[in-house]
Amino acid sequence: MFPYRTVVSKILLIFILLLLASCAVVPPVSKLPEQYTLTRLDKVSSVSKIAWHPDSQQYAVSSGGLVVGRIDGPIHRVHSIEPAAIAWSPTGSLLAISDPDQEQSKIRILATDDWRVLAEIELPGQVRDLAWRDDEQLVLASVHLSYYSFGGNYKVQLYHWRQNEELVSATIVDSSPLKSTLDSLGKQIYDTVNLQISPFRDEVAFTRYSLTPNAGNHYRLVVRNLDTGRERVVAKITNETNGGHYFGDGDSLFYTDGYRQSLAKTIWDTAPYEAYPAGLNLEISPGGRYKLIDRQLFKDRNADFSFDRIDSAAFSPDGSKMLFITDGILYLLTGLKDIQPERLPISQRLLDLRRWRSEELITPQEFINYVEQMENQ
Amino acid sequence: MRCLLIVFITLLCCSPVLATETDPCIECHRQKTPAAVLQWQQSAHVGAGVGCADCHGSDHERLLSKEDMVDAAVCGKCHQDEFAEHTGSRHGMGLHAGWGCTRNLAGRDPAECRFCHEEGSTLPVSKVQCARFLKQSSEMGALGCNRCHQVENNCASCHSNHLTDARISEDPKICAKCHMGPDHPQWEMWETSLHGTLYYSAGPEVGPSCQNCHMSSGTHDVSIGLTSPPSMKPYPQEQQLQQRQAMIAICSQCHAPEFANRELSAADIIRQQSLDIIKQAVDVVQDINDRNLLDPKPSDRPAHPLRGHELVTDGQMLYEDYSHLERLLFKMKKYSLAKTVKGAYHQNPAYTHWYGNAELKMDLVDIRSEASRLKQGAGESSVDGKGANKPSIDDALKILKKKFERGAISQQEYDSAKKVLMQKYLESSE
Repeated sequence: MFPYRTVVSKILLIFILLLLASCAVVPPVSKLPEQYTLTRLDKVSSVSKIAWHPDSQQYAVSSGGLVVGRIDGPIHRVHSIEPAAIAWSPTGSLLAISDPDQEQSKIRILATDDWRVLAEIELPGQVRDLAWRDDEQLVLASVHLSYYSFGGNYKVQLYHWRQNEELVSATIVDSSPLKSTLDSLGKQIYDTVNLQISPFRDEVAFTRYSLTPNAGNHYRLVVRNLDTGRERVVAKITNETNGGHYFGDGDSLFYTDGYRQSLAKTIWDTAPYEAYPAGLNLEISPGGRYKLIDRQLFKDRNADFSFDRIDSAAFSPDGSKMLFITDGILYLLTGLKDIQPERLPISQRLLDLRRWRSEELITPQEFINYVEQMENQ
Repeated sequence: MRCLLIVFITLLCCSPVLATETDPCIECHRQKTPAAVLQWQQSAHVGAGVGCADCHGSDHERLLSKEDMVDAAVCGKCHQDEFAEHTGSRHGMGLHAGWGCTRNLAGRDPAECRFCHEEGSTLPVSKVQCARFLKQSSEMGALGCNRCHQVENNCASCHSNHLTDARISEDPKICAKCHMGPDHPQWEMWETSLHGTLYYSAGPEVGPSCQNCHMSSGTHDVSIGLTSPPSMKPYPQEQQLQQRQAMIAICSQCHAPEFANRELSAADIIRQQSLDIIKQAVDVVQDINDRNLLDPKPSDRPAHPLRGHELVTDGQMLYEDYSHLERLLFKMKKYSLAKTVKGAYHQNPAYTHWYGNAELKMDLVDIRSEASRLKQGAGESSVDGKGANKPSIDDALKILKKKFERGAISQQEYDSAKKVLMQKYLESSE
């Protein structure tokens, strides 16, 4: 008699083993240097946004709603809206989220002690970039798109929102792309701004798309002083990169030109730049010691190790950790030893000097001289 | 033989009359436009065999729709030398200098398209660039601007439409219809100068007319001998010298060249002195603008048709939608400067001094006084900026930069003044 039972049970066993093997978590790095530790935190959406709390212990991600967690604890879903942008206020007591619809976006400010909604505002266009200037003022970039027979109008509006005060706005991008340009960019056009606020919270870096019918499409990395509205074009880039990332000194940016090299460069060209391999998605630790170029981690100026894949990542404000998402799983990398950013404490005098430099009332060299004079005083 | 000669002379004398009778337009137009027909019949054109269609064309539809107009180019087909001289002269320039379309200006009158375009066409027929013209209503533009500034393309401005009598264009009064008034009273200053009074008292053989000096020997180049454009800023040295020699040659028909040179050189000096006074006034206005004290500020006014929201103090300065201080400057530049300088070159003492120079100096007093009032209103001292509310460091740096950018201070002065400001700032308590 054929041993049906034995064969079936063996087949079932093999099937179960295969099933278990496929579910097992394969670490997204084949050889992790021993000074680092990798911890699997939770399942999240692959396209989640990550935002660190200023204390470097908590974080928020968008995954089927707004999810917050501690690095040593479980995650909690605290709000039903799955935000397109998340930003903790400088003290961490508030958290701003954006919920863009087709034509407009709802911005909510939540109290982080009980997650109640403190304020809400609706803005035209899609808001996918948020940053806090201080605990009372939010800076938002909204992308507006209008379609016409010949193409469309692509406009980015920068808003300053202070509760109970009139909204202040400025147009920072305004161009008229051809229909073919709009078709090729698709929904990517809403994620084009890449707004980053400086450590001094007095200026922002963003990507400016100039989509013109006659002169072609151009992409620029721009720095804009929030008080004066004066801008400086830092570099030509491509449309596939994720913008500029501030060094902790507030005077340099880490960005990629998208095809040739990644650069660590001073905004006002006051020092030689450092070149790194090209990439598309970059991150930098606050002290600037660690740089992530796509899936490769650089320590100081050298390649340290590579992840198998990274969908998105964020260094903690203290520079000791990095959260990243790979294939819908949130990981925590610890053991980083960042350096302290070389910068003066934020003072009104320093902000004045930075503002005057943006308005070209003082030259970049005069700025350096006056900062040195302040340090010596 | 004698009979044949009599018949030939009779036919020659009657030929204009015969010509007028054979022109196909005459029968109707004798009733519809009798004055035009009468004037043409009395003109030299009849004798030369120039009929209506030779100038107007024969397409009635195009004539009625004003597509076929008799412009200077039509006259130029026969009067080639005169046309060439005219187009190369200041009269031939008119307002043509390359201008911007007004279609996007807020509140602009669509009727003004006709100044530059044929109806239904986007092709410009004119290249006018004049901010004051662009601010006008269509009606004011047509009468107040174009009635004179059509001279560039319209010989009839001086010659009339159908008459060809040289007495019309040789009479100085024909110049008066445009060259008069507060901004360029050349007619009045000639009429009351020794040249003009002699013209009227002793006759044209003694007193020279406008044409004697500016269209000498019948030239249509009215710019001969002029050493500066309407802005009064002198031409480059070489061009000035060339022009001056040409004018002295004209003056020398009556005067000793040394005398002419001396008188014109004195006028040159008065022109430069007057421009210096204007510069002082412009500096005051720009300084007040640097301090954001103009009321209304350029940023708060309707946009200037050519420059938007910047302060304009040059030849494109408007006389509306600006501050009282600028109104004083406009009057000074447009009226007082013109009277002083043109008065000097036209040898008119009253225009040079009382209508011109004295007004220029009094205008400068008014401008300084108004500037002082504005500074005091803002809490600044009128003398050295040491009033109760000194400009903030921000404002002081901005004022300094604007001064440097418009050339009021040198790089060295700028750097040194900035250094003083910054040292004070860094040494002050935060």
